[in-house]
Amino acid sequence: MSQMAAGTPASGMDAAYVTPRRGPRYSVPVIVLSAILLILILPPTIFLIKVSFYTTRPDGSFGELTLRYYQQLVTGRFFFSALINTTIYSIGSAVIAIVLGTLQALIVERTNTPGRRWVLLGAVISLGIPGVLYTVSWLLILGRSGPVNGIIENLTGVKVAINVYSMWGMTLIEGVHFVPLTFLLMSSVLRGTDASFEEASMMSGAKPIRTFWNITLRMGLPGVMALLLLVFIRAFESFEVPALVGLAGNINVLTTNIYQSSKGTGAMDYGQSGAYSVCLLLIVAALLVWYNRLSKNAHQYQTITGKGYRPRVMNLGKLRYVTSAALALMFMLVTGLPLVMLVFTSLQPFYEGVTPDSFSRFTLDNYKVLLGPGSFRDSIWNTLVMGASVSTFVVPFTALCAWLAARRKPGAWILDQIATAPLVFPAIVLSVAFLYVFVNLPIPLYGTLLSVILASSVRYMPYGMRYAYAGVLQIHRELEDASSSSGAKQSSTFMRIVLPLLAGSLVSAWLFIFLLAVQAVSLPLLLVGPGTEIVAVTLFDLWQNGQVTELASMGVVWVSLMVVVSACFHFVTRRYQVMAG
Amino acid sequence: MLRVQDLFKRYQAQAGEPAGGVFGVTFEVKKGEMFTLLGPSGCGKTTTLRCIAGLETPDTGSISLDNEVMFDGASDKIVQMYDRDIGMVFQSYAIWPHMTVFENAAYPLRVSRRKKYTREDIEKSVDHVLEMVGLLKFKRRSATQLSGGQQQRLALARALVREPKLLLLDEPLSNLDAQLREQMRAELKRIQLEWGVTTIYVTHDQAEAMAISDRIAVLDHGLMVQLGTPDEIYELPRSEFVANFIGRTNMFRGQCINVAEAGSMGTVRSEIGDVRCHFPAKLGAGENVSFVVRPENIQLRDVNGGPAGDNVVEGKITNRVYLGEIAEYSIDLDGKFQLLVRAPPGNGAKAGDRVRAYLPPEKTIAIFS
Repeated sequence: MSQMAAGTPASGMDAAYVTPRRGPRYSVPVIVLSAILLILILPPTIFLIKVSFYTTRPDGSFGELTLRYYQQLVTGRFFFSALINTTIYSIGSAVIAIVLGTLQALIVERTNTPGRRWVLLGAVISLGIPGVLYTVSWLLILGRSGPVNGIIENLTGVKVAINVYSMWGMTLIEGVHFVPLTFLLMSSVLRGTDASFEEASMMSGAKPIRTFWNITLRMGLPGVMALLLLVFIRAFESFEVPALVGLAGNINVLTTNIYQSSKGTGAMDYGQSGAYSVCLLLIVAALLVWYNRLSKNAHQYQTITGKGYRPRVMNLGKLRYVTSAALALMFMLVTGLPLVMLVFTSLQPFYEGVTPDSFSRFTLDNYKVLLGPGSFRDSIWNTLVMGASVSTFVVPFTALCAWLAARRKPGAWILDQIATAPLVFPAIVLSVAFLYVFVNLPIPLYGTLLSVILASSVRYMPYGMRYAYAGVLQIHRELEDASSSSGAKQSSTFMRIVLPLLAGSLVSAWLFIFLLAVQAVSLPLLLVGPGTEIVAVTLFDLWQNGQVTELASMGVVWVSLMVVVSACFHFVTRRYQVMAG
Repeated sequence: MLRVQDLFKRYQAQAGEPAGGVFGVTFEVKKGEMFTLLGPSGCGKTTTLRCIAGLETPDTGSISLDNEVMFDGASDKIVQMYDRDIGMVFQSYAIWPHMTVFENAAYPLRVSRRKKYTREDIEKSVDHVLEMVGLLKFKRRSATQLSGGQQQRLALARALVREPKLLLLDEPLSNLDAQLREQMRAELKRIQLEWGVTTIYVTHDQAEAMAISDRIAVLDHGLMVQLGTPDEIYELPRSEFVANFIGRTNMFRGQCINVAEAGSMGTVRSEIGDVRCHFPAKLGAGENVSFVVRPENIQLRDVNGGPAGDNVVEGKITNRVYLGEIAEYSIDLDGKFQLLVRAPPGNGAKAGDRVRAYLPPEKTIAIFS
């Protein structure tokens, strides 16, 4: 899962937008940090807007002001058909994700189903699977020569009964991909709601089903709606599934249109992709504003008191084996099947689908090639360096920004605003924007690993901000005041008091951002060049080239590595009770 | 009315060791009575209450309400919580935020399966109950606009609206500030008397329990250690725990000299000399006993007021705390023991004075230790 817990700033951030009336208007650290942020964020934004309004000369400089590109969008058929496709696909996947995720969360949090704790394991594993790999596994399962079509053919004789390269295929894969996210978020909604609301209903004479309908569901509704919108937004700006499934099936969505018009190396249609990007950006920004409003509503019913709280677990009797089976089935659907398919494929000398013959052809050759010297090893190394650099830059930087903002230092609210702004950029838009910047820079940054690191740092800045902000709010203000009154300077207070107390949140944020950064494909896709391959991009290319078995073996190795990271993330988060919504 | 017999409910902590619960609690509540379960946190009072409500299933024992079995461990019979006709006020009030004041209070009637209520019935009953708790003028408001005290009243109205056989109150005042708490306490008592509803009240606050209850059951570590009226519990504590938990007291240890019958007077050879005590229960000669005497029951006397008699100890006042209508004296009994005395402040005694203290035998209670 590449986009876990993605969303908007914690609702508590609003409190920081209050500027103190007295004292200096600004401070040196705030100015320095704002400057760094602006240097990172402004150029891509400006370039993006400019290319959509100016013609571009062959040498890359801007020509005259024009509205041509927007006219082309509005008059052409592609934009609106893509918009409609994107909407259908996003609604569909949001509904699938919410229904399955909520079902899981209800079973896990509110019943005594055996084995319910194992669902968490599924979520931890999914966090370690890059979106591109997940999509590919599903394409192998549901593809022309995949096991599903094979079974149907054996049973009914119909050849290639289902075509996964279709709208429903896209929707299904994206929806299932988001189940671990919706499961985790719904679980926290259910856990945050005092069980005595339900008990009070039962004591009023309402039976469990009626209680569920009148109380649990009604009180949970704002949370469900907010989550629905969140998944909708994530699907709206998603790239992996539309690129791998949609393009092959000729179903265009906004993100793939941007990708296609930016991909051509020779005569690149800057204006066209710029206009597309600006439109997508505006839509996502509007949706995020709406989401912010909804999620504020969603929190109004939550009582995080902890006092007198007991989880209400419903005894299902014999029925609990049915729910147990349902959980196992969902685990297989969400995590198990794709992984099995991947391992199976990685052990094949060549991919021909799942046939009786293929079981006699198991070989480890792919792994031998993989572990030997060559580009595979390089790209794994590149990726780890890239992920670690991004996290190591973003986490301390945002920790400082968040602390200044949360403690309402003069002018620090602006840090919070700027650092969370990249949230409105869908990854592919940010990628296009940075592409313009790097191509036009006098320094040869284009195609280097540094360019990916810079772009990713901007992309994940809001996530770092969110973790650090929530972490700072958990630290009692007086702990810092005690340091100041002991004679410590602000900088010493930050280094000696705030950072150590924030350690749990920061480690958690580091691992989380690392996981997101190394698994994203849409951001580095347009930026990497020869010699700076990134695993997710390599996987993407291998699929395009039809090197399925190499892809699978590389995927297996990579997932095993990432599951370790994801498990660490899980334990750190639990150990320090990190809150980041 | 309500009978709880040999109730067992054991909680397992993660590591497997027991983590609280109740171990064989038996009591009976009379019709119309205000019955309190009192004890420190973790004593099992809330567990007992939740078992009566049906929110927890006991391990063994039986619970019956109005001669109807609610739970019986032996025959495995259990009546579900929603079929029990018991009203409950939760510690957190559990007022549903997505409903109005009226809808919250009307909910038990709307979901009723025993009897169908017409719209007029509901309107009438809810108005009546809201009127009683003083919330009638807020009935169209959203429940989220209520203050803590008002939420508390609404929770009470919701619990009473269908006139249940039994009302359960789980630390209902613990989330209110001190002033409001006293006011609500009086109001709870008034409403309970007015409706005549049998009530079980759970609290850890002994003053609250004393003020409100007809009878009190004191619980400690899952066992019921004493059951009686507030006067009995205070005047005749049956264990050191009860004596210490309820009010302030002086306690000394010693041995019983002779056999003492229940209700008789006897002498204890103690750390501070021979003291004649009241024995609420029979104790044999030579047995280890303690005796307790409340600070306000001790009389202070002048050292020069003639020879010291029975039950008189002598010491030096180390501290005097003036509290207005009364003063509190700490008396040092020759370096080893401390005695706390509450006496009228006008007697002239001050810190540093030597005084005698008389422990009236009928107020000095011997306890098996």
